[in-house]
Amino acid sequence: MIRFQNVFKFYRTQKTLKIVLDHISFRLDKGVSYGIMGINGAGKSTLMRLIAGTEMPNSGRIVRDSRVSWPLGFAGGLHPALTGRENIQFVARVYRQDIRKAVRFVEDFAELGPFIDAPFGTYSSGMQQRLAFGLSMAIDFDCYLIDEVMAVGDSRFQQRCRDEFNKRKQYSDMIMISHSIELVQMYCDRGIVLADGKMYFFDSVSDAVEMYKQLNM
Amino acid sequence: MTTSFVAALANQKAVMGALILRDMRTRFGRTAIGFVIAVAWPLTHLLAMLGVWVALGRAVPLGTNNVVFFGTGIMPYILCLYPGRMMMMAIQQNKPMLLFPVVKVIDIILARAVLEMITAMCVLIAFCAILYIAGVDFLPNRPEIAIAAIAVTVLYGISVGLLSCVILVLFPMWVAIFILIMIAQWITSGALYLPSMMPSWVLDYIVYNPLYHCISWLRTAYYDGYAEGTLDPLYVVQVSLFTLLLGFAAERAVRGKLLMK
Repeated sequence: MIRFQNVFKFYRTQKTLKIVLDHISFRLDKGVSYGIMGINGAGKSTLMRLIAGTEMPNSGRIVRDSRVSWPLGFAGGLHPALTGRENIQFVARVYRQDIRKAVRFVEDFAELGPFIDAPFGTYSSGMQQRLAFGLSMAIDFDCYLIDEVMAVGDSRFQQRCRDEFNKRKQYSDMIMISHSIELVQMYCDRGIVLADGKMYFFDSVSDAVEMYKQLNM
Repeated sequence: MTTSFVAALANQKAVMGALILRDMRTRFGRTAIGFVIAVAWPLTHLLAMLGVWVALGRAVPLGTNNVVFFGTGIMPYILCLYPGRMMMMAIQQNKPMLLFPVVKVIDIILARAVLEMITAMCVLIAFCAILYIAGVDFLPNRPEIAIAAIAVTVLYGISVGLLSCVILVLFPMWVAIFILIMIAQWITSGALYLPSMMPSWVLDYIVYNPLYHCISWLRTAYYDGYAEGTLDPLYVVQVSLFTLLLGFAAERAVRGKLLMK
């Protein structure tokens, strides 16, 4: 469960003040997957970072009692000078996973071959994405965050990503940002629309989609 | 409640362990000898400075062994400067790790503090071993005082570094100011001269320098009654604890900004 208590979040762009959440309280329940929609610049990615805990609100509190992932497929925290293997070992250590199991899983999943022992910085962008995606799957998160990217690589590998993810979805929740109405409808139980510093909750995804479509008009 | 506390502690331990390993591997580029460099750098600095002062053949102001006099002056400076400087860079160098939600700013700071203590200990051991091999009698009369003085010196360096690493993220200019402060402390520390030979009005200012007390305290382990009357080891401890408190408070106050930058 993730609870926001009177959360206020803004950020400054060149000249303007952008309010993402204007003193909002809500709860995201365990066992439910949420789809977050909103027009470009509404602050969806900022909201995602608040949920993950990699960014802090300007005021208010955010309480989590479950383990939340970093945005799926995101490779920013991996060190370019360390090998793929060392990066996996680091993340497995931090998340207290079986290190060998994690390495074996990613090795097998990301199909890196001998590159697993090459510095991460020398990988092609496709390889980096595959490793990062495999790594997200190697850790048992209670809740996966998805910021647009659901699958990486060529179409065959994308299918693998989706298969693996569907397996994972049996025990893990997800919070998904997407402009793709089909994806949200396929994966999410409830919908949220973020607009003008407010969050609108919908018990059915189609109602959220309806509002999102209105906003886009 | 207790179980969640134990779980939190176990998490903290796992994160810190992983950060220390990663820090050791990546600080000086991707080399197997990264940690050797971390130790060799301050050690070389220390030996080079000591070598110059001993080679100059100055008459020592105290005792008969100039290696001991200059060594007890230069070593605390090195064991304060390097941990301080490395601590200062902690957040800046490890920023990307904060993208993993489980890693907190405080984990990065604490991990580096532990690593700096280990590094300082290695420098100390290597320094003593080199002097022993060179046939220099560097053993203190009162080892317990020497160990306490060095421990407090490292603590002082780490406390200053902790506060600095928070300031640095907000003001990149801080590096220059930090170095100036360190140089000022070095010059007024009495490492290379006897502060008691200074005019009393100068000494009145010198006693505010924590490094002066670090060096003087270490020297009492070799020279009985050194700096008697002005030495106050408790002062360094107080300054260090206050600076640590300030550093932790600053981290808490600007944590949101540290994550954003």
